[in-house]
Amino acid sequence: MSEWFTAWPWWVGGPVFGVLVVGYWKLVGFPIGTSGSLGRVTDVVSDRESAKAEAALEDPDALAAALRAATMEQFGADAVPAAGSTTPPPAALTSTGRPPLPWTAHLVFLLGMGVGGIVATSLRGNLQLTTSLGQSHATIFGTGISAALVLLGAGILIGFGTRMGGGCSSGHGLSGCSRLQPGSLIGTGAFFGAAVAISFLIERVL
Amino acid sequence: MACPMMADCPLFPMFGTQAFLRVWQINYCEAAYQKCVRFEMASEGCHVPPTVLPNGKHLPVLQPGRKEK
Repeated sequence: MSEWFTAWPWWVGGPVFGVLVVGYWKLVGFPIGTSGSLGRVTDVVSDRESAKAEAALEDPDALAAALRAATMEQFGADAVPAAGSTTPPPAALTSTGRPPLPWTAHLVFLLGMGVGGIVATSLRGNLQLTTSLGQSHATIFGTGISAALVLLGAGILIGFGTRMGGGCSSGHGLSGCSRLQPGSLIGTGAFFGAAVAISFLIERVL
Repeated sequence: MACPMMADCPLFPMFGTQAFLRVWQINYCEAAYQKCVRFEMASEGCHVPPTVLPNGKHLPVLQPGRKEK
């Protein structure tokens, strides 16, 4: 069995990813995305603040005051009648659609990715702890502290780009492209194109 | 063309409850829903918090991140 798992063939990996993307969408109601899940875990504090804000909107008077202030801010004071003019306050606001998954569910998803990787590697029969990133990486970036600094810088750039672009390779590349989202198609073309170009450049120069 | 998601948006009927709030419907839901942040988020399959306005700002009741005193 381990022979079969020496490498995952494209005709296995592709359909599995397809089922994963569609299945996640249908079951959870939101597109799958690794950075999005990581963001939900790291944003747990602000999410709690957001929940408090939503709870505050259940007060019709507070909601009316908030809508008045927001309208005034967006469209100017002339668009809003003077305070004190009596109009019935609006009913409380409620969310639509499915509620978002709790941060713990996203944490389980992220942990599952690690466990899945360990299981897949075990099935290939070569599970072992290693600090090596391969000969090519060592040749280009060295080893030890220099390699660690390169990884740190790369990680910061990826994190920055992912936040700025609103998603990563799984969110845009898998979920977004499969749903033909224009932003995801452009974003995926941009970051994969840049990655290929930089790889060729490094190979030629170094 | 009006916003195709207005039937599911809790803010759309809210903007019809008072005359001065109609300005939101006129400027976003009916005239330019493509620039509505709520529409963008819903189109991307994201959960749309009820506190988010079409312009992307949160209703100034208790903004996320603001500490309670």
